[in-house]
Amino acid sequence: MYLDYHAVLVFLITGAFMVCTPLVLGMLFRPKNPYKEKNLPYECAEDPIGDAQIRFDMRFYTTALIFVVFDAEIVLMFPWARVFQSAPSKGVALVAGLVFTTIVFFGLIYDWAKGDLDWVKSFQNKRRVQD
Amino acid sequence: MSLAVLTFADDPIFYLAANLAKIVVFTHIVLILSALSVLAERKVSAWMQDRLGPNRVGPGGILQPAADALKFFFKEDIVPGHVDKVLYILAPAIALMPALIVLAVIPYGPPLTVLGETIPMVIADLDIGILFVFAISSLGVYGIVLAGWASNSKYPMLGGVRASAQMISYEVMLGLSVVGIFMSTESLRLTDVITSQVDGTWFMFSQPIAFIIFVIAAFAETNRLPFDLPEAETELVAGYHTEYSSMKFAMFFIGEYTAMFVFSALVAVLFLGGWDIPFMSNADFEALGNWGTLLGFLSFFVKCLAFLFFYIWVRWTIPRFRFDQLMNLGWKVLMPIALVNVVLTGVVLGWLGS
Repeated sequence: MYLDYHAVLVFLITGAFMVCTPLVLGMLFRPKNPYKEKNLPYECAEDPIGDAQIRFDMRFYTTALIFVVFDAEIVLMFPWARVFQSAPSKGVALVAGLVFTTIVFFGLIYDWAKGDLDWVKSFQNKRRVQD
Repeated sequence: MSLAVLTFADDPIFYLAANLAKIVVFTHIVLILSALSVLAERKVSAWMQDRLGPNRVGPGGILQPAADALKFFFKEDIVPGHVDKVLYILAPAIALMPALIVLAVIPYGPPLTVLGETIPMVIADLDIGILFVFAISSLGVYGIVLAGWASNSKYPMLGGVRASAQMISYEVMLGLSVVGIFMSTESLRLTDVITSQVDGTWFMFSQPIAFIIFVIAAFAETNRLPFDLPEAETELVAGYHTEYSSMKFAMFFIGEYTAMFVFSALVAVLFLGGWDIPFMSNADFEALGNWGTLLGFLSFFVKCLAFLFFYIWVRWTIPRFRFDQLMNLGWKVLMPIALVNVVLTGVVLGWLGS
């Protein structure tokens, strides 16, 4: 069974080879002529001010957290989906699935009500935070 | 499948040779197809905008991808002074690799018979096929995020951060939409999904809600219009690959088109019956022997190309979403619908079974 994965490994090596070859081979032909202006960050001919690796918006972090939770929940759903039809009692399997889906759904509604799913926070929410 | 499939224990050398041949052939087919789909994109765009499109290189512009590749080889590879060098060079490779590796589990056609041995037309017929696809294809986001971060420039940074939020959000919808399919096939193996469709109905008809959600999520995962926010030209210049040039830029480009092909293939496998041709059963394909394989192979690629055309068609039809609209559509519309779809499938299957 695990032998199936040897093809994946060979494929991985093939993929790496295909990615590296053009990069390395091209080095032989390419011109190399860097100068100061060429090495500046691209900002439509403006002189860049400051570093670009800044602290970014907190909302991206919240999205990532929600993703981790829901993705784990979906991974738990796959085995259930696989054995659903061969379960001794489909009624029990269905109820079990229903309970799980409901919990996921309440999680979604909780996030929704809390405003974590709103990309643009409403004015009211903003004021509540400031108070 | 009733036929005995060639395993490693039967004939190790033949088995390895067959696998190597499959890897070489399929990788080349897909890479050539993704190069040609760049040309197709330009040609179809031109056709939709009433222009001629590329027509100078070769007959009808058919050699344009080759000319582009040569140009990528001979252009200066600028590595700006302000970048994080290791990650900057690593990012394009990471962007291309996952799309290539997913090709290993896609079934391209019915099993082929060579020298009395049956060889499945899939490079690695894993029993967790779809989990492998999601696990590997979600690694693609690293390439984009690292490119945005390592470039140390403002536009790529914004593009990279946007891409991360978009791709992980739609990853959830992608996974959730296919749960219904695996409830009816009782297998995560992609060849089983196809064989159950060949004898039954296509999941496009029995799982229409899942089909629509999957297609929308596929557009978001490949960063295509109407969800191409990570590289929105009018806002972010070129998004995460603004600072890239020469072959490294080509890597992102090929990676994007290979990912498009992978998702077209997935839509074909999961919803359009894979190698199925209407009114043909598994027994028919087996009876036709290697001709059946060829027919199935052609049918599969016709479906993929049709979906690739759909990608381009949508690009020139629907305008770009705003970022908050994108997140709202994902979390507040598609997510509840996908959950309801799972419950609905469960109820219907339970009803039919009892």
